[in-house]
Amino acid sequence: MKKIIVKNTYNVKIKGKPSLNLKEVKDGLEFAVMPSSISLIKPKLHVKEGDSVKIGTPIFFDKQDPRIQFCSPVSGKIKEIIYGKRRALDAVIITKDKVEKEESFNTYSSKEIQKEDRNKLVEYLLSAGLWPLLQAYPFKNIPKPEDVPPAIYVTIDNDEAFMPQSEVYVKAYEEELKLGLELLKKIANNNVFVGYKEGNKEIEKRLSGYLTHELCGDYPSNNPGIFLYYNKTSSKDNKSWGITGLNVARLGALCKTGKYPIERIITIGGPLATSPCHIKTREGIALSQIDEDRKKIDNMRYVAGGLLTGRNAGQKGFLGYNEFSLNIIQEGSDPELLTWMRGGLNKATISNAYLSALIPNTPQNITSSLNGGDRSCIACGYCATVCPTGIYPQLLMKSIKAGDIEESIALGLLDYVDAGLCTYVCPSKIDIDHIISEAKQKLAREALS
Amino acid sequence: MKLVISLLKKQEALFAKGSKLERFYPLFEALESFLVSTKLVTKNQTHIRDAIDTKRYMIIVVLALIPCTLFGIYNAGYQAHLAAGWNLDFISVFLTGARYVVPIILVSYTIGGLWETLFAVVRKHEINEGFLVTGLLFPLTCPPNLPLWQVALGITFGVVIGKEVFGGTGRNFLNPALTARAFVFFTYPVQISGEVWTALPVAKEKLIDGYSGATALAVAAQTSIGSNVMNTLKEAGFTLYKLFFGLIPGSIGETSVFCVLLGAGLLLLTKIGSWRIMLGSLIGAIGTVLLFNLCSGPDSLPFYHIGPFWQIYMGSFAFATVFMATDPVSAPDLEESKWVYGLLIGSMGMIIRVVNPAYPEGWMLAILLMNVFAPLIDHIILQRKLKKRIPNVI
Repeated sequence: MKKIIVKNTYNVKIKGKPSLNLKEVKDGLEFAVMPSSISLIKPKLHVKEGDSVKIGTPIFFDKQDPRIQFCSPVSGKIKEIIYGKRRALDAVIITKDKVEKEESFNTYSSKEIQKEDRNKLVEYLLSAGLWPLLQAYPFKNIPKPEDVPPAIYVTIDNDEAFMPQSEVYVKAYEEELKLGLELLKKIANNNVFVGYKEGNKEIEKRLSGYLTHELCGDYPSNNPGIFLYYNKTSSKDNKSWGITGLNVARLGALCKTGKYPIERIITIGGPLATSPCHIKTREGIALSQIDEDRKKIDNMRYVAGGLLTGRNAGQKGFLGYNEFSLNIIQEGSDPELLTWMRGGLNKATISNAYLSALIPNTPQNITSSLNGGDRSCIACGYCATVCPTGIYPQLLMKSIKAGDIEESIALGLLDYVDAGLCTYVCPSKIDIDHIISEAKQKLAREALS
Repeated sequence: MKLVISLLKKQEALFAKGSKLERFYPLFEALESFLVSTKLVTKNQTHIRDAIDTKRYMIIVVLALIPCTLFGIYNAGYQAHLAAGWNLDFISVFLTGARYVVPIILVSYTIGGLWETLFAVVRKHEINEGFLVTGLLFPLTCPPNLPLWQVALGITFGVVIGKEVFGGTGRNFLNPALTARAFVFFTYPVQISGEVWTALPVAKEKLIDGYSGATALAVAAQTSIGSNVMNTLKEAGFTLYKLFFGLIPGSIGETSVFCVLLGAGLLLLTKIGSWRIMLGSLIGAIGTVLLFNLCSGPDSLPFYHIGPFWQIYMGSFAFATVFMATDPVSAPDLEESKWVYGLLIGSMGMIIRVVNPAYPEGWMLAILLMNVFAPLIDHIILQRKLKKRIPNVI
């Protein structure tokens, strides 16, 4: 087992960490497929309003490559198709049938996977709509089916605030995970690296034989992109693919059951969650179903995904294709007099500028407030202290603003992993991640077309 | 608190878009964000933000400057009373000091603040709290009896040319407070060099016998070649002890190494000031002094003989290192460059002080010079670091 020590990491210290209890929730009647939650695709529908679909029926595909398609997580009738700005496909709402019907796919045991032709397995994943779970670096786009990656990087643990813990989901999906890893080995010609959080004995025991690297450090050391950055030896490796353990389990579930895997374990967390815990639920569920016994506050923000990289889903939103958590925070903070001269024992901060630095391990309350006004970069250097890929985010941000793409790439634009930490720590409240992500997406559209 | 919030809400309509006072929104924003926490919320994928903002950041620096400011007020009064032969009881000394120093600080804050506001209104950006630091740093580097109109001109130059023409705090490449001081220094040398370091409350003829307004640096510079300069200093009343605690003539805030250390403690504890720059500057200064000591012969300038302890206690080395060199905007970005930057400031300032006694002190020039070189240091070190990366290009 190799050890990778990830430098410049940081865990945000906030309240609402989910407990390891696993709860189940009722389904509800309405589900949704959310093309807008997937980046770098141009979605086009296979279905129209009023159509009946089964679990696993293709709903939409990517216009740039029609083989890449996405399936329905529910059996029922298409109730509504919602378009967003400039008629971009936003969501497809489906009303669930009383008795659900399912499309069936092949099943594979681990021996069958090893014997099967690689291309057949790729087609298998494409037809079941699970191919898009793979992400090709450096742009995190859906890889081309005919490409063979230099390697696939898998991380078992999630360290973002707050995501499902491996202790819970690996226990539930141990067999599926192993099947999924076998499948990936076949797809990447055995070049699969599996990383897990340092000292996670339970995972060591359950997945022994599959794990290759121990990842040491706080968030975001268990991000496949960071794993790739620390493990790469030449520039060829830059085009490796990545996937998280939660998604590998979905690949395995398809092999095991021959059905489109709808079930998933997610977390509900954040300072406003009444009982933060793990929840067994399914893809596309309405977020209001997950948070049954919520606190009665009007101004809440529902974040689908982690608090540093998630999507503001709205209280009437749905759980997207690739989202494994619901985090609830207050929208804006209550007004506070003279914040800048308070002791600040209750402030979540990486700095030592508040008294809370004396109690560094106490989780603090946090809201969606910016906690400050928009200012110019004052070169304080906080962002560089939380960048594990050795980038100087402030310099990269400035070179992007100056429109110098060559320099930006030299500064490490393509190594950048959108972890959200540099935005989180910025005292000038510059959305560094957003600026870098946008530049990278723009570059991706040019480079991939 | 509710009263403040409802009052602000009522006034906000006056400054809203489309209303008469729209242009003055930055003023309102400054006042509002000064009083209550912000209403702004996160928009994109990062939903939460750290509690630190530039306001807190700058306020910590202002807090760190308070010991120096208070002591500066007291010392200005103390030197004045000493010169006039008045009694030295604490309150009257402090009041005399306040009479000289407070107007300087007030003028600096008001005039500089006006410029800051004017630019914020015209350029439609918010008023930056970085000015709270600049507006206090500049007076602390002035002699206590600097004419107020010169203070006003200096801070105007510092804020407008040193900062605002480039786009405000964060976009300047020179330290605005030092830019202001450099302006006064080169434009009105009579009032800011020579024996101007004591505010004299009475006419020159009425001063007590034996009064000398010379600073330790001036004494050292005027020592005749061949005599023991440390003894000369001691005879003139500048013992190491006195230099450390700072009851000596000098710029308002710079004299007390002890108070500077208090501020440095706060800056280092809160990690607002860069310890790399401070330590780099200290090492650079001591290294250069030792080099001078080593090279000095019997017929070299007396300054060459002064040991490192004396050198770092004298003049404004401590103040410049802790408060001026660590300004993050005009310092380089990379941690490694901060070492180089600090080392060069320390050694450059010492060279100016020792080799060129025509200048009373070298730190202003050394820091401004290194401000200009900071991007170059960054560039060289960054290129070296980028070579080590595994290239990731399309």
